[in-house]
Amino acid sequence: MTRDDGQDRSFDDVLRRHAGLLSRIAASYEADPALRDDLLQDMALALWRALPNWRGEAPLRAFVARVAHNRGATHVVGQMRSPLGGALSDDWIEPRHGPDGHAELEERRVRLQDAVRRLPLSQRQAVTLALEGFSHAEIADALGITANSVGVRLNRAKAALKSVLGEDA
Amino acid sequence: MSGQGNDWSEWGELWRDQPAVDVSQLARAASRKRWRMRVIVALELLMSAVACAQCLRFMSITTGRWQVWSIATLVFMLVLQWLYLHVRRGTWQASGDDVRSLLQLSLQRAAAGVRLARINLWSTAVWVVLTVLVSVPELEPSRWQADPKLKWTLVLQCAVNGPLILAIIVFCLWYIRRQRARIARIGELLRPDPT
Repeated sequence: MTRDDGQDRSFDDVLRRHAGLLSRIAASYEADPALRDDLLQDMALALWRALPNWRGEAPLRAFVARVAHNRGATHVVGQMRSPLGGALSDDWIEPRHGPDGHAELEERRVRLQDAVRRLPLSQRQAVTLALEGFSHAEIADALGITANSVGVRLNRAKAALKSVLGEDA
Repeated sequence: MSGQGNDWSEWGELWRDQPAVDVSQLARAASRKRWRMRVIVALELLMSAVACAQCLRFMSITTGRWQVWSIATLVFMLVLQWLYLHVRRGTWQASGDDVRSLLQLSLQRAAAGVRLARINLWSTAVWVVLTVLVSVPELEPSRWQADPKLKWTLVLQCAVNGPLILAIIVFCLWYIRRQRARIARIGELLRPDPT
């Protein structure tokens, strides 16, 4: 087995385990389905390139999230137009739970995604990691800010989310 | 506090309850991008190598002013290739560092990109002036009117290099504008949180 084969196999395994995380982070940066898919592929590619540098000093999940956010931030910087999604796309509403069963749940999920996307980038990055279950310290480490700043960003984001979601969430 | 925790855990559950990704399709798409990137780089390097080889060949078979011109062309091409690699680097980067460090690095790269594009614009101007100065004897109407082969060579050079130089200038101006917009945008992202 060559080094590349080994790297590819390890990458496939990591990708399989963290595809959901990548997908959700990509969705927080891009509302347009085609651009979102493209960004997700770029994140996967960035992960493939960055994975050999992972030395296990941080949990793999945190490393994956960091690489994804770095790619997402690069995407935002590269966008000349505003990265915020604007109108919601119907593509977001997949009838996974049947036509009537959990439609309300789906709608709440879509509204949450949209609300997160509308946050300023600094808050959005902290929020997506918080929603993934990362601790304040892990978020601070991933974003290169202090835990105190994480608390400030999350508090502001929470107020904004409550106001956008009308707070039945 | 528990109310705050409840909000986050409730939103977190909702957030993580998203449709599953088709991992094999994603892996295939990423693999395709990987290969496309490798092929493009290989082609770009091959074309540069061919162009450099032509310059070196021209340098070895000419003397005097045309030899100086060959050296200048070689330097110009290397600077141009450097810019292209710089442009491409933005799409290659994959950083495991924290987001703030990446943004600061991107800021430095964008500033370096502007400098590089300016160097390219000036080197293009210098190359054009040098080419015209070196070609002054051949540009004499009495000379090219009497030599159909020289006339054809001059027409061909103008037809090929004219649009190429225009494209390089337009590209550099576009690139400088784009990098300035990036610098402004990164500056906004790096601004500290208001207290």
